[in-house]
Amino acid sequence: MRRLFATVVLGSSLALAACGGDGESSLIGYVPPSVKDVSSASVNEVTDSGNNPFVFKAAAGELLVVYFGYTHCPDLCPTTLAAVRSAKRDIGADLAARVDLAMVTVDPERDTDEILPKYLSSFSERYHALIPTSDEELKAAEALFQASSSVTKDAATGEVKVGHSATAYVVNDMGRVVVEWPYGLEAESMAKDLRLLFEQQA
Amino acid sequence: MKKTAKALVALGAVASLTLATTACSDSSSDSTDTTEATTAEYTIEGQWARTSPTAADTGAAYMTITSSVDDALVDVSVDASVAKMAQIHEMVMASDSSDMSSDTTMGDSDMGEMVMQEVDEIELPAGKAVALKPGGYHIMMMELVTPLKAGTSIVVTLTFKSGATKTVTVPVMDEAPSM
Repeated sequence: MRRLFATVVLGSSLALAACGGDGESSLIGYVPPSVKDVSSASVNEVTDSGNNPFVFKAAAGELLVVYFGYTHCPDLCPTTLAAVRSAKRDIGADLAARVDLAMVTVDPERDTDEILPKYLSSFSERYHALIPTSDEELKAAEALFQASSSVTKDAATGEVKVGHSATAYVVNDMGRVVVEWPYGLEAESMAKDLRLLFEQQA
Repeated sequence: MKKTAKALVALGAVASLTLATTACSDSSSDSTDTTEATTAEYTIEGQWARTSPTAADTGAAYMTITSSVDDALVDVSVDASVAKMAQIHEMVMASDSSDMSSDTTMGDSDMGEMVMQEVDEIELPAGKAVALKPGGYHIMMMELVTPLKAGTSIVVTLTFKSGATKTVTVPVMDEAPSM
């Protein structure tokens, strides 16, 4: 029963996403109906050379894929990140080189500086490991994207339960979300969207 | 079930023989003893486990299970050299902690939160292929001892409500195999 429900929701969200692109564009993902500027918040980025605030904005002429997730996630996160990796393979090396990836961990307590960059290196040569230094920092970024997450710890067992919105967001070089990929969207569809977005940019 | 312990043991022996046979050959079931109506056969297809990302502590395995009789998958395990623990999990919408009958909850563009939860069992209605796949049910491996590397394989043991067990060799892959 539960299983059925989840499928129905995913299905309807995909259907919705398909209708979202009314107008001239034929993007497969969901196109936000109003401008969604995400460049006004930053999240702490961990790099070899130290930590810096990362602003959600692609480099000139590039696209940035942003995902909110956590590394203890065995199912949704690797499924989506692997699909992004496949999509990049599909569009060819030249275009793929212009696709950047940023993941914000919603579980900063466990996803440390040691772990998150290594995790992302499995999915992309270029990546930004974003580890919020406070809950406010995370919530402010989520608010811009309209993403959400919750981490609860069972006091008795120590078991950590993480909930997160499983959408991937594609941000352009103006810091605007140009398309959203709901969970379950296939790599082929992501590849089509990336190609179209680069065409529109040209 | 009014069987004596002896009969159950015999039944168990038949069941394990059948499992051994099906493991070697996916072809016809002509040789199956049709007089033993309660002997379950389990067909496992499309099994795979995703390559675990570097530094990841968890992994997931997927497969499609068909049982010849009404049964349920009640437990999963992997070798201690692979992971410390394995459980049956499912992804659900966070708001789905109780049954929801409406399918119109997607009021706006945004997905709700999805959470993973352990399930006691997965029902296997007779003859119905039940898929464990991304976004639905999966076998979650926790505290991986070694990373799951593409090109290798792991052995997963399935335990059914009937008491039968089945071991499945699961190849590790970067992407889901095309069916």
